[in-house]
Amino acid sequence: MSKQFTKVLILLLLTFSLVACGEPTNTPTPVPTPTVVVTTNQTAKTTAAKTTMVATKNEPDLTAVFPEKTVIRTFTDQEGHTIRLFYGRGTGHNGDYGWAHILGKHVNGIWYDGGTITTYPKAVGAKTPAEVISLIDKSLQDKTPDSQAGGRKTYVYFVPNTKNDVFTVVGSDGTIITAYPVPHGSKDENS
Amino acid sequence: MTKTQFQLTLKLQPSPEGLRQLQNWPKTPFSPDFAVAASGLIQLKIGDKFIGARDGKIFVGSPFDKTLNFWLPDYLGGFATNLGQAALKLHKGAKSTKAGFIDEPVALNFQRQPDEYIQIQFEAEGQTIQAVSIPLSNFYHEIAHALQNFQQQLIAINPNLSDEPEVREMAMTIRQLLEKSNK
Repeated sequence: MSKQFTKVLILLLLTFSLVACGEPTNTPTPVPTPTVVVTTNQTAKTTAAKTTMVATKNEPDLTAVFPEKTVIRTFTDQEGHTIRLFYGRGTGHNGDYGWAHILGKHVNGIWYDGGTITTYPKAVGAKTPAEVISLIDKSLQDKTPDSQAGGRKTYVYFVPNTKNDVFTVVGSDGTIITAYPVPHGSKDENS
Repeated sequence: MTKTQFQLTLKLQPSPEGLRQLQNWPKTPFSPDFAVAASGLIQLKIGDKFIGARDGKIFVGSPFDKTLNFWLPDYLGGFATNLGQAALKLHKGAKSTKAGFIDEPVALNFQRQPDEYIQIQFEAEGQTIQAVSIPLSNFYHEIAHALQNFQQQLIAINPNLSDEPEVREMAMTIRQLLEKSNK
C-alpha cells in the first residue's frame, strides 16, 4: 500500500511539475522595429545636429515632422551630383529651409514675414506633397542649371499646361534650400 | 537738390539658429548655407516709390501707407552676393544683368543705357512693377553702400565673419564698385 502510495505520489509530482513548466507561451516578444535610420555624428567637435540618413526603401512620410537633419529625399541631377532634401526648418519665418519650409510656405501658404507667397496648388495645381516632390525632382533634371554666387545652383522646370516653372535653389553643399513656382522664364538665365 | 531715385537697404535679421551660427562661425559651420544663416529683409525705393507687400502680393507705395510692409524677406546673404555679382558684371562691361531674390519670385534687372546711365527695373511674378534710370556711378555707389552696411552688420555679430569666403568676396566687390563710383 505504501509502495502504491509512493508511486502515485511520484506520478502526481511529475504531473504537477510538467504543468508548472507548461508549454512555451505565445506572448509576443517585442521585435525591434526595422531600422531605416542610420545616425552618424558628422561633426563631432561642433554642436551641430547629428546627420540622419534615411534609407530610400522606406522613405519618410511627407506630412510628418522630423528632426532638422533627416533626409526626406535624395535626388541626382543631370551632372550626376547628389542633391539632398533635408527636413530643415519650417517656423514660418526668415531662415527656414528644406522640406519643412517648402511644405509650410509654398504648399500650405503659411508665412509670417511679409513678401510674396507663391504656392504649388495655386500656381501649378500640385495638390499633394508627393506631386511637389515629383516636380522638384523634375526641376533637378535641368540640363543647364544656373550658377549663383556662393556656389549655389538654381534649377528650373517648365510645368506643362501652366505658365509657370518650378525653381529650385541648391546650396553649395548639395542641400535644397527652397523650391517654389515662378512665372515661366522669370528666373531662368538661359531662357 | 535732387531726390535719391534708387535706394537699397539690407537689414540682417537671422533666425535664432542662424544667429547662433553667425556668432560661432567658423567653429560652428553654416547649416546648410551662408545665405540661410544670414537671412533678413530688403527695402527698395525705385523712382519716387517704395516697394511693399500686402497679403502675399507686391505693391508700390509711399512710406506713409501703413497698410504696406516695405521690408521684403529673403535669404539676404544670397541676395546680397547675387547683387554684388550682378553689379560687378556691369562693372566689367556687361550690358544687362539681374540680381534675383532667392525665396521670392522677385528680381532686380539692370540694363545699361546711353550716356553712362543704367535702368533699374523691379520685377515681381514676371511683371515689371517699377523702373528708373540713374547715372551708373550713383548706382555703383548705392550698391556698394548697401553691401558695406550689410557687411558691417555681419561683422558686428562676429568679427571672424570678415574671413568667411562670401563676406570676403563681398568686401572685394565693394572696393571695386567704390573705385568706379568715385571716378
